[in-house]
Amino acid sequence: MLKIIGACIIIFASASIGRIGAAKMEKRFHALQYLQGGILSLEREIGYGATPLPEALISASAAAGPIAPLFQLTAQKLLAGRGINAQEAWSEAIEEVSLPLNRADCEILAAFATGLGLSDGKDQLKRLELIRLRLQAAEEEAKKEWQNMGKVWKNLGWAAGVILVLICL
Amino acid sequence: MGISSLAKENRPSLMAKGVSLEEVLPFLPPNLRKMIATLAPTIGVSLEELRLRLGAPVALRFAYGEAFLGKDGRLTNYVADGYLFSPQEMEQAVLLLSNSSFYALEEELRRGYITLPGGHRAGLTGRAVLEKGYLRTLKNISGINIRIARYIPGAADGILPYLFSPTSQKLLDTLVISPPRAGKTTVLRDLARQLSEGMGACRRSYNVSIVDERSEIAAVVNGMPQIPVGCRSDILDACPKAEGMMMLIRSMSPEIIICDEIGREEDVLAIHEAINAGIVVIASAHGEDCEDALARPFLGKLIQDKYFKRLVILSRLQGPGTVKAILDSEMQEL
Repeated sequence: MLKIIGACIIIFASASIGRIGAAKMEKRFHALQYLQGGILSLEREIGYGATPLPEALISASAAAGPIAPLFQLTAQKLLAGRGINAQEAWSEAIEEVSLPLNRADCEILAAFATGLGLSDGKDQLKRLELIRLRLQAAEEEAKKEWQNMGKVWKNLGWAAGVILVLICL
Repeated sequence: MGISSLAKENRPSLMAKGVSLEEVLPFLPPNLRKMIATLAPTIGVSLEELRLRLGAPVALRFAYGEAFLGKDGRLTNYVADGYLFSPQEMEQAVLLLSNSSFYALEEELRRGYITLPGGHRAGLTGRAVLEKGYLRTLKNISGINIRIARYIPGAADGILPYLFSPTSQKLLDTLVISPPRAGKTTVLRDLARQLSEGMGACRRSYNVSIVDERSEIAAVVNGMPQIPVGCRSDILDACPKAEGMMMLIRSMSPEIIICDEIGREEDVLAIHEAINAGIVVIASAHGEDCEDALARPFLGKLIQDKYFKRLVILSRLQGPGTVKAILDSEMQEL
């Protein structure tokens, strides 16, 4: 009886690890999607409303789903009156918020904040569009990875659990 | 006059009620903010300008003189003892003043000043960036002059009785002429408030429309005036004066239109239009006296043609808001 319970636990744990791996890929894909939503909203605020950056970031956070805290925290840091620029505020916020992104994605985010708010509207829109295109490419790649490797992770989790149980028995 | 008395000098006529230095503090770099906040109880009411120049001591200008901010946080007369404004602080100040959003201030940077909440104004100098021969923006900001807005209820008390016709009691078209920092916006603001609420010498209240091109008269922030301009005042904020006046004539049926710092051809044409439409215009213009205003190409013609029935000349003789003379359209002193 104990053996059966132990085997179940091993299979369940192994399958969970597989599922967590797959969920991580799914989260990255969705995060990249929401980031684009947030940046698109920011483009609207900057391009049409000429809304000051802290307010624009707060408005954009509504379209950023699970990434909203990053936008909100950056706005808070800008409004704190320390005289820091958007790049510094964004970098500090990235350190404080946990994001389901990989290193390459973080590099895009760093490029996003460079010069944010520090030029005229036209230039800002060009920069944001460029970043959105880079995120779009990253999203495509994340989607493929999730669709292909997600299933592999899930199945591998189960399979590894079963193999481990067979070896132990 | 000693440095401390300079900051404390508050003649009753100059007492600025409702002026809060705290409104300006968030726009200063953290270190300077602390030092000015410590001085605020002493200098709060009498401070007129805070001048920040790259690599130079921070200067504070009062109604009766100027002093530097010392390294020890006290006021001083000596340049060598002054607190030098560093490039890093300049960068911080620009970021704070612009809310990290240069794109939102393109027009302001082109004009060379930013209006802050509370009606305070930050003038900027730096390197001009030209596009097709026209000023596009400023970069490498090297100097900031923060002018503290004054809200003085009753600033127009000595002027208002003269603005009515002695025979018909009709309100007359008026031009307030004053050099910079002599209180013309303060007077306009109080005129708007008193006329709109039917106070003082007014026999009734008026529907007042204000074209506040520089957001200085009413200091509107998110649609709400930060300085009282009366309950019957409509404010067209950040709109060019000439265009604004025409818009108000068509849309708001005003009895009085108030605007600040007129002088361009289009402003004068719009005033022409408004006065001929039966609307009373109260405006201000830069100048030491009547001759200065008369010498200006478009404005001079308007005065010569006697469109303005009252000319109010302000000076700083006894501090900002001193009425030097009130003239009728024949240039006779009243």
